[in-house]
Amino acid sequence: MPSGMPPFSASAGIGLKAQHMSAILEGRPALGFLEIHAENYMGDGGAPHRWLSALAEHYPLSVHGVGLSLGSDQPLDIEHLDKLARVVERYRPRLVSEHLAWSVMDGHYLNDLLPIPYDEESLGVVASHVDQVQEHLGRTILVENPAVYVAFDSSLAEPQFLAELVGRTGCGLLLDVNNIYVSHRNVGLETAGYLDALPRGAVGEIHLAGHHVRTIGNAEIRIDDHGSPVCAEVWDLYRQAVARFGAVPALIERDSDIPPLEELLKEVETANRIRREEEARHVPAA
Amino acid sequence: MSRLRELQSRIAAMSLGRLDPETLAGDVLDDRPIPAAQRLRIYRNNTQLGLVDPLAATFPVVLQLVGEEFFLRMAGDFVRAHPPQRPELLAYGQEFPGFIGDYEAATSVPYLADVARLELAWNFAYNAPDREPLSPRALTAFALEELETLRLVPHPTLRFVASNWPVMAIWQAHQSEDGPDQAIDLDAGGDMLLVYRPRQETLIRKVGAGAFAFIMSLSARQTLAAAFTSALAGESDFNVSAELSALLAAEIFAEAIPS
Repeated sequence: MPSGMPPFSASAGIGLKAQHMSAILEGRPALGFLEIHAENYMGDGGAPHRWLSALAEHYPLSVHGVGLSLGSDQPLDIEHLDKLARVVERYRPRLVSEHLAWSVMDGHYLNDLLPIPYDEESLGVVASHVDQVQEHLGRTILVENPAVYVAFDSSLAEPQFLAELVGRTGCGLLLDVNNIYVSHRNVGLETAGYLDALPRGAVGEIHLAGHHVRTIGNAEIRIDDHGSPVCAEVWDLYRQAVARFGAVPALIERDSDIPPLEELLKEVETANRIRREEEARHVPAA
Repeated sequence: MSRLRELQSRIAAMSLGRLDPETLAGDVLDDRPIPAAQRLRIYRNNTQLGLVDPLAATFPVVLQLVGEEFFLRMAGDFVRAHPPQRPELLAYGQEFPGFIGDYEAATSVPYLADVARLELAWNFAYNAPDREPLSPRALTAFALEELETLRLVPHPTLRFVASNWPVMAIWQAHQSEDGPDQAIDLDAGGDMLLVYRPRQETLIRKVGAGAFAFIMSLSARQTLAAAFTSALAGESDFNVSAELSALLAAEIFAEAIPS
């Protein structure tokens, strides 16, 4: 680690939103890190970079990509990969992550995170893309489990697919516990045994977010909109994840209906409290 | 074509509204209370709204002028006709002003396309690479006879916007969420604008026909003498020394290259 880089504390962090930038710079709340969407900083210059450079002097950063489309069965967009590499080079983040999903096909970018079937064919595609990204960036990345509204006839369960991906590429995982819960409710993803199926050392970050419950006919579907506070069931999954994976960096994600910074800081505090409680429970007193 | 790629091709077409979700229902598990086609429509909806959002961010004044409901319809039509080709949303919407100009339902707002052009120029300058502008005193380093063949390079963030409508006043009046606090005189005449960002702030500078032609000529790497000729064609009483020092003071240039 270059000297002068802000320390990476165990405290949870938040996704950085333009609305909060000056409040964070002025108040310097205790946050473990700030996470940015890589694509928002792929412009060449101007205010976004000026703000982020100022914030990077005080907080460790995590770069979260949304546009690489690791799951597309077509070559990665090298220009985009280069731009991601430039953002990573410029800000030297502690963590770099992307999604187990796809968003590019037939010359169109869909700006959505679409699901893939969990089988050998998909595994081959995603593993070769992760290899390529890690080689290009010269570092490992974390791959995030998706929130889905449909599932395919798959030969592998989601956590087995992720464990296999870790084994083949050496990548880490960004465990989104809200996504696990959303997929559980929407397509019956099995939550029992999910965490245990993931290799213990692989989880490098945890995402926490809220979702929206929409009713279609007489049935509910949960939309992963990051637009509300984290729900009780997801906090419970977080507690289980800390018990299994230890104190990995956790992030409060809010991408729509952005509240005042204070509200997110309360959720950061909740995450920190749960982490401390679990640590006290699992670390035997000296 | 692989099975995965074929599946992704059809889902992409469905997401962009080019394929009925029902035709994909057999490709996903249909064992939940909500039918597969309905759940596939969520992706279609997310995709299209996910592409309208960056347009709303780049064209906030257009949005204010037509209202959210109309914007959603117009931008949605644009998204389906011109989805981005690459994951590069900061610059998405280059064809949007032209699309608005041809959009039947928007003809009652004849200045809308030009306002969109101004917002596109503003967005370009906002995200362009930072570059120190040329010092307003830079020309004192050159002898008088050198000036004629000097090439003054405009700042790389610069974009030109010309309109028959007073788009600068319209744009300025919509810089707060509340909209304009006074009526805009649409008969006030057109605008010739230079949009650029010499330092932190993105600027819009209204100029006359002469200065507009002058800077355009310099942008095409013409000499000062040639640019002066172009300026005179646009404005017969163009005062080159006064205009040039005003433009230098406005930090509109990046470099002075002697020939």
